[in-house]
Amino acid sequence: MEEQVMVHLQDLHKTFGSTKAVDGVSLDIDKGEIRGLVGENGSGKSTLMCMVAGLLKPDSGSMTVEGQPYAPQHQAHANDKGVSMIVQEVNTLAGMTVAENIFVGHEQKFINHGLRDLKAMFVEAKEYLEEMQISGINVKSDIDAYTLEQRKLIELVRAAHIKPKLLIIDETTTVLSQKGRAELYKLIHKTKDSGNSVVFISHDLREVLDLCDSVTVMRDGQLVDTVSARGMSENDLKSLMVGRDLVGSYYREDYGMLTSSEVVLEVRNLNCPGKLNDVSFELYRGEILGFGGLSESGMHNLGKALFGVEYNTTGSVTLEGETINIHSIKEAIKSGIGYVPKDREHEALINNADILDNICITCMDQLQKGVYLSPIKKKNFAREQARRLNIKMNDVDQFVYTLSGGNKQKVTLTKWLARGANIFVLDSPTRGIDVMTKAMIYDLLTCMKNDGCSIIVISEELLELIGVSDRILILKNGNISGEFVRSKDLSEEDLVSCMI
Amino acid sequence: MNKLKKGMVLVGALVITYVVFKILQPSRFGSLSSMFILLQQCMISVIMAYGTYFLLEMGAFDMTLGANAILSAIVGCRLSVIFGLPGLLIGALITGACLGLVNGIMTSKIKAPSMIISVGLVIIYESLGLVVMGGGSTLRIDSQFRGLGMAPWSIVISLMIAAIIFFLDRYTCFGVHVNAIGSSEPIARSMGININKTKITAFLISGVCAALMGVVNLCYNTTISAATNLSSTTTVFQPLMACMIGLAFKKHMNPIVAILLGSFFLALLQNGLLTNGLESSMQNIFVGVALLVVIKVTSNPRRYDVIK
Repeated sequence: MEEQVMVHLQDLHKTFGSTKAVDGVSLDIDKGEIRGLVGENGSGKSTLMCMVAGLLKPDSGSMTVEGQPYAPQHQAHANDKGVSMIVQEVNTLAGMTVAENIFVGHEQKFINHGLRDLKAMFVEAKEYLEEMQISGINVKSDIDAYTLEQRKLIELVRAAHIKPKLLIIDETTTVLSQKGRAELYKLIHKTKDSGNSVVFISHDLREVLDLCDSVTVMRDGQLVDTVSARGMSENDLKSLMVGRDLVGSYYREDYGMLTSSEVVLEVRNLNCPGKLNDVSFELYRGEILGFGGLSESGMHNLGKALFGVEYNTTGSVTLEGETINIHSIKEAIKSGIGYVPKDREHEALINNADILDNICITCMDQLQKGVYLSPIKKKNFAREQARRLNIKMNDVDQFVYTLSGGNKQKVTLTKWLARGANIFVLDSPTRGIDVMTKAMIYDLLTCMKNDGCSIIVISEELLELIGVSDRILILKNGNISGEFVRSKDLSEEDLVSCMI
Repeated sequence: MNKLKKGMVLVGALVITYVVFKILQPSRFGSLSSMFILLQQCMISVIMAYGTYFLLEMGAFDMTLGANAILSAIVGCRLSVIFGLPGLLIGALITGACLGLVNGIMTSKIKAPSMIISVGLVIIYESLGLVVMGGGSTLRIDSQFRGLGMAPWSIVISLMIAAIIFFLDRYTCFGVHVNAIGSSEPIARSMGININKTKITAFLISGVCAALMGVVNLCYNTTISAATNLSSTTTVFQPLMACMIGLAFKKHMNPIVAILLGSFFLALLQNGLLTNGLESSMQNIFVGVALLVVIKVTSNPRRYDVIK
């Protein structure tokens, strides 16, 4: 019985700040098995597999591979133990050759009398590429010369060349074309046929069911169930993934309220190569417009584009009749747009400055007299603003990095509220935030709406979208693929069907 | 094709610079003998440029190179009185290596930009130089060692260093690891590359090269005096710029060759401006502008890779 198990995970935990990403997961993966791993965004499936592949260290818990204790220190170490992973993000090293990328961390293999044997490395890399029938790639070329798909295929070769006992594939198919997918499937079946195991993470449930022997479902960092893929339908899987009812009081409870018919923001033919295709929509006064989709659907880029942070955008954005320059952040701010980015730590806040400066930074022009900026005025202003959202702090001179995620988000929101913005673009506003602050932010959204502000909420959490939005637009591969109006009967399944 | 074209930018810049100055000052600029002297000087400063190559590639700066060169040369010079040539070379190189090691360890232990840490260390090394000097204001190297600073020896030494750097870059794990860290430190770390070890090694190499440059320079100039008030950092900029040019052209030609060409280009530019009677502050403006232009021409970052 024991020989059946390839990898065993015992009670793994991983916390990021206040978020429990993986919360006590135990799992067995058998030899010669293709295991699907599904769950909503943020359910912890990638985090779990990153721990197995040595990219993250678990807070607690243990793992074994073929019965042997296994605690990878880093990815190359995991590879030595027979575990390799293809991650969601691009994970190639720019400025290095294809062959170097394939063998990075394994250079020792080609050291001959202290010399790096380049010829042998090129020959072997070429063999691997030919073995997987990937053509059109020169192993001596710089990796930057290739497209995203080709780079992903090169990663595939990197993961496969160690003949892994466990191959983990995280959300890779979305960037691959039909041909690339065929290569991937071939690799998966080859791994299975040689008695090794595969873990396959995807949002494409049809693909998961077709490919896998069994499917494990995760939700909120915990394991829901592992089921056999045979006889399962996509809908069965979806209900396992979603599996909960709407929590009433958490969100807005009004339905059928009329929003104004006054268009505040009109977006026409917004294009961003590879991310957005001809996206057009209107935002009405006092409306909360939700945007949903998979994380790579382009919705996060949409938020950036509206605020002028995205590159290469074309199209027009008209604000109360006036066309604004979509490449200018300054103009966006002037026109009363406030943007809360998804990456709070890096893009939203100046972490090593105090709350005072973070709040006042948007309002300097209102606070200064000539060239003079009164510190007292600044402080009073910041205090007054901070009180509006009840930021938990000693005083406004506290540094922002000392705050919790929820309070940081409050500071981010405050800085736009203080400026008096009337159009808000909120990207994942409750990401990694505690329940209390979440509820507060939802209340705040309703308040802002009632004050006549228009709000765009971009979120990967479907329940949140259904809960707060007057209207929901779903993006899929950069196109708007569905539109839903607020209603009691709206379910996550409805949205998901447009997303994938 | 495009690769070759971009690589030719550097050669082109060299030729154009030469031709322009030759036209402006046909009699005073560009004679064979003066070019040879220029080449010798450039061969000395290029040693330092090669030394800092790996550091710059990883985005680390070592401002101590100048102070290191002076301190190592002073130590070497004093030891040469007792032990002769071995004293000069070994004394200087060991000093340089030790200083490089200290730089590397400090940078990996103190989590602050290497530029700032190394400026702190410059002050220490400069003062150490004064201490080792003893009483006098200048030290003079014995004339028997002068050959070391002249062609062909100075050229042989810098070509040797070029060969070693080329070898390390292309044929060792170290070179790959430097590349990987320069490309993305988090990914490199996840691949099991020892970041600290690689960085400390790079600092060690730059220390040794700085010391060697110090010795050759001492033999070329025959005298040396200790630096104070961060004045040693001025010697760092030209090698640093040559190295930046080398890195900017990395995609289009061998960086080792590009560093040499870049170094010669800067020397030529300065010499040309000098023969045209420009004062040194104006020269520096030209050199700075030229550097910016060269880097702008060659760098074409893929902007969509920057923000995710």
